[in-house]
Amino acid sequence: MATERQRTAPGLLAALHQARLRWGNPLEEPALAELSAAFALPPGEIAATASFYHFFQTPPARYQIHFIDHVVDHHAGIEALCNRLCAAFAIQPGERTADAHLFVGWTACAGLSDQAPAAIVNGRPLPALTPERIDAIIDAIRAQIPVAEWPAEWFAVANPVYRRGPLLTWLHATPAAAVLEQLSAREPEAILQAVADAGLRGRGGAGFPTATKWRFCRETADPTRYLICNADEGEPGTFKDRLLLTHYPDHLFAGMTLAARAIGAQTAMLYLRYEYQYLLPKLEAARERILAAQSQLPPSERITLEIALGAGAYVCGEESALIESLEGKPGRPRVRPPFPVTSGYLGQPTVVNNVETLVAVAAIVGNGPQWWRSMGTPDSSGPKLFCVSGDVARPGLYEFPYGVALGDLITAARPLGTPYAIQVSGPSGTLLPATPEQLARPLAFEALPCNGTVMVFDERRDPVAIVRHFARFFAHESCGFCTPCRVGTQLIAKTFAKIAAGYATRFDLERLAPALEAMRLASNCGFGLSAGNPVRDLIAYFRPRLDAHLQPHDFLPAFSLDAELAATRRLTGRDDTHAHLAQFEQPEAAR
Amino acid sequence: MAPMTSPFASETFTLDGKPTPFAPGQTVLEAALAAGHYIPHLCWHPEMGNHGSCRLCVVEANGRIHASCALPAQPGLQVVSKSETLTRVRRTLLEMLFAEGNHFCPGCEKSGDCLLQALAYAHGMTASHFDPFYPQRRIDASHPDLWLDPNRCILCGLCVRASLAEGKEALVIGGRGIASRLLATSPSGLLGDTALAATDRAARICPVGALNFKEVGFASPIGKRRFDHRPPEAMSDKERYT
Amino acid sequence: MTATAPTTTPPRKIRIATASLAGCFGCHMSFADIDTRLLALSEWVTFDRSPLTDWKTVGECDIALIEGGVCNAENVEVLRAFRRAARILVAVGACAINGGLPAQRNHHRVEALLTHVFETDRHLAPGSRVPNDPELPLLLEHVHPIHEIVRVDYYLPGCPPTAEVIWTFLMDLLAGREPHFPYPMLRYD
Ligand SMILES: Cc1cc2nc3c(=O)[nH]c(=O)nc-3n(C[C@H](O)[C@H](O)[C@H](O)COP(=O)(O)O)c2cc1C
Ligand code: SF4
Ligand code: SF4
Ligand code: SF4
Ligand code: FES
Repeated sequence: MATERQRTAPGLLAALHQARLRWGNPLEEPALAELSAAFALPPGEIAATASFYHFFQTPPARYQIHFIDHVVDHHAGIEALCNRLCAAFAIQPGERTADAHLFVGWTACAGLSDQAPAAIVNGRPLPALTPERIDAIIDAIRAQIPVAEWPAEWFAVANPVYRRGPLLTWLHATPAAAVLEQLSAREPEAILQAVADAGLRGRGGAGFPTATKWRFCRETADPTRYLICNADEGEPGTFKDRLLLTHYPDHLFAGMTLAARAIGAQTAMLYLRYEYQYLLPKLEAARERILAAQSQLPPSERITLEIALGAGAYVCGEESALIESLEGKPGRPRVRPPFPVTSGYLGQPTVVNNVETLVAVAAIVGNGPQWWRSMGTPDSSGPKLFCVSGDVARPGLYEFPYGVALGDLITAARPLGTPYAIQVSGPSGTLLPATPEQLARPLAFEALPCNGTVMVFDERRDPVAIVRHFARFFAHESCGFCTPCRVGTQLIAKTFAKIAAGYATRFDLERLAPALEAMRLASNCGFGLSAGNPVRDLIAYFRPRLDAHLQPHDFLPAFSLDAELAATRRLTGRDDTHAHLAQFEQPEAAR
Repeated sequence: MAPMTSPFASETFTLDGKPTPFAPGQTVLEAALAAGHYIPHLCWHPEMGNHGSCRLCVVEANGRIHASCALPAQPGLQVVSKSETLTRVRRTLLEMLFAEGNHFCPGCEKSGDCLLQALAYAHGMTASHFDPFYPQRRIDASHPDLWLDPNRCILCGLCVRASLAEGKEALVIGGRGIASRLLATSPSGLLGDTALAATDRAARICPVGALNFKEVGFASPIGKRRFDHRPPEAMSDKERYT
Repeated sequence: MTATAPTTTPPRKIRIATASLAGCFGCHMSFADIDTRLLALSEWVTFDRSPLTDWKTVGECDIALIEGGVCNAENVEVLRAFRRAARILVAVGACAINGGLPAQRNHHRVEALLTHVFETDRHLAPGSRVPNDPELPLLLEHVHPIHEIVRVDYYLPGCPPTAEVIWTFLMDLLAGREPHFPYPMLRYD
């Protein structure tokens, strides 16, 4: 049976990045021809991959600036900052200056919610922006100072940790190499047993028992297997992996090595989101150290460690999309079965684990499963890194054991006002009202599941606007493979645009309901299955706030009728009563 | 490979209350079709297998929703393919496909022979209730015998798969999200510059009016077209698929 | 004809109004094709504003049948008047449902189209201008299906819908049944 794209091209994303640096645009004719020859693929296949990823769409420019289009950044005033920069060069977001020097656009959350508002310039983060910083950036661009020569402090990403627990303490105190030197670290069965005894569940969101996943893979007949570390960290509001990648890359590579051993893989690969490429030198150095730590081993026992870079696609955090991306294809989640554990990277058995999961593996092997098990709840063992952002005085990282009450976590982050709405687990998680009952809920897989992301919004914020931001995010990031998600995310975004325009009525929500149902039931992957969650929660918990945006009319058009006559008014010079249309008529009697 | 009930099929699963035999490796959709039990589908094709993108073939199996074209048949599986919810979901998916494209059937060469349209009829869809998107993708008429209207393409990947299977790889799906679109793989991005030939399987597999032959529009009069009188459900494989 | 007429005469006649917006009158022709049965229909039905009556305003009615998409300011006003007046508003035909043929102009800006047609086309007399007579309705930027402007209760697809479809629909409504079209009757072309 023919699948849509059987041809794999590992390394194509890296080559596209190279081409982009060389030609400015990876889709220029010479780039396409060269890549096509190098990968023995028709140019259209190269174009198909390139056209999938956000950062390959940026037109060539000396300064490519992407402002972060994330609700927390919006609350921190990102739009005004973007406009300030654009105004200085007389362009609109999404445009390039006439001299092709500067491009300004938007991009999804880049894992910087604790230092919003932020932007990215030529792939490097610009955290904690202020109007003054924007003015300085304007000056630097006008003076044609290369980005490499911009002051280092402009790029300084902080990793504030406000609560350390046993995990961070252990990581701080224990060299990664020491873990690998342990005898048990060489025994696949011992590693697997330790992880099973610890009751470790995946930290990437789904909470699948890690040892069970490993066993599925290990038990396949095929001896060529892969371990992949998911460092795509794209769920808006999430930045916990950033800390681990920045400060504990050795432990991560050690954990990857252990996991690879446990499943009998020869190769372990780290898939890093493009927005974290500034961490590459650090990661590369750690990779070398952990490779060196294996040098005493017989070659058959050594694990090859590799690093690959994404190119801007949230959906690539979904494990099968990530695998497709590693194979040089558009990051479209696969249709399952088969699951990656039996047929993953290059069709071989593959385990994908989150960064935090793999660091936990190192900690469990290093410090013992009992230690891990003694923390958290029976069903959600161990410590967990939580990233809190939004309307709090201390946005940053908090280590708590699983089972911590949502309210306790938020209190630790010192809310600025009275919390009103809490987004747990990012946009694809749950939007909750900050009621005493909700705040009392424990964060744990069996209670309120959480990948570690908590965004706090106080009473200044409108939940409807929050959901509109999420709707735009999902519409932008859907891979487009399956009907319900490709079209449904658009329908949601259009409905919220209509609400924002002040033209929506109850009817628009009624009309959206079947689309939400189709997405929730029929989507191919977790993206589409959960992309309607914010709307679901808005309706369930914030109905009065939503209703306040709805017009009492039976129905209104989604666009301004009068504006639709503007062109012909101009052309005819007319301005009589028939040259105008009223948008709002009397509400109709209920029929 | 046409779905056939294997003479060795001994195991069964339950489909809408009926024991249904299946051969090892068959999906629920294949086993159902082989047993004469129709489940609506657009992107599955007997020669090309599954794709998993249209989602019309959704069923409820052991209490969860799955695409039946990707779900392996297993002994004892309890499958429901007909329910009010499933019909509603399928109709919504069809309405979505109509809204996202430019489906002006009266002016379409494929009208009456179009699987999308026929399934919409079969689901009692009188119209798409969503506001139309009116995409403005460029029509590609560069090929001497074929032309492509990407505004009618439902991204089923059938032509892509067929072309790959015949070793030409003339077409591919690129872009992301709502901007996903069918691309010709030639350097120019034009259909005419690919190796696609009118005699290719890929050239005649499109289930809708997206990839068409030039100068053969409206070949059969209304009333004589494939789906004019009978829904896909009532047809044999030969009649149902392009 | 498949649908059966109601067996009892309703207590009062059903008032039907019809309008053609950006359409070709094909749907109205199809309605007229009900033919001899129009006579039977008149037992149960009376007509309000309609090309069939030539009344200029629409009064309270039970059913409004709308042909054509919404292309100009007048279309919007007429459609809204029908929506206000009718208990049940029906989109009749392909153009009312998705804009149909007139919507093919949505690929272009209305300004460019009008300027080309009335001012820059090389066949025009020099100095030709886009007409600005206040009697002429102004064009909207895009042609819209009627459900983008008002709430629509039912859709009768077809280009045009056959007399059979219209008849079946009306008979179902008159009999208080949810309108239903068997497979071969449902047509988008
Ligand atoms: C749309 C989508 C995005 C995801 N993004 C991430 C991500 O950024 N990082 C991650 O670790 N897992 C992500 N996941 C979950 C992965 O598919 C996978 O379950 C996870 O990497 C497995 O690792 P774990 O078992 O260690 O948690 C995502 C899932 C979906 C559906
Ligand atoms: S649900 Fe969305 S992201 Fe997942 S496969 Fe479908 S279109 Fe792609
Ligand atoms: S492709 Fe099918 S549904 Fe679309 S316009 Fe043509 S006949 Fe109609
Ligand atoms: S052109 Fe036709 S066959 Fe090819 S993907 Fe589009 S709808 Fe499917
Ligand atoms: S036939 Fe199963 S998803 Fe299309």
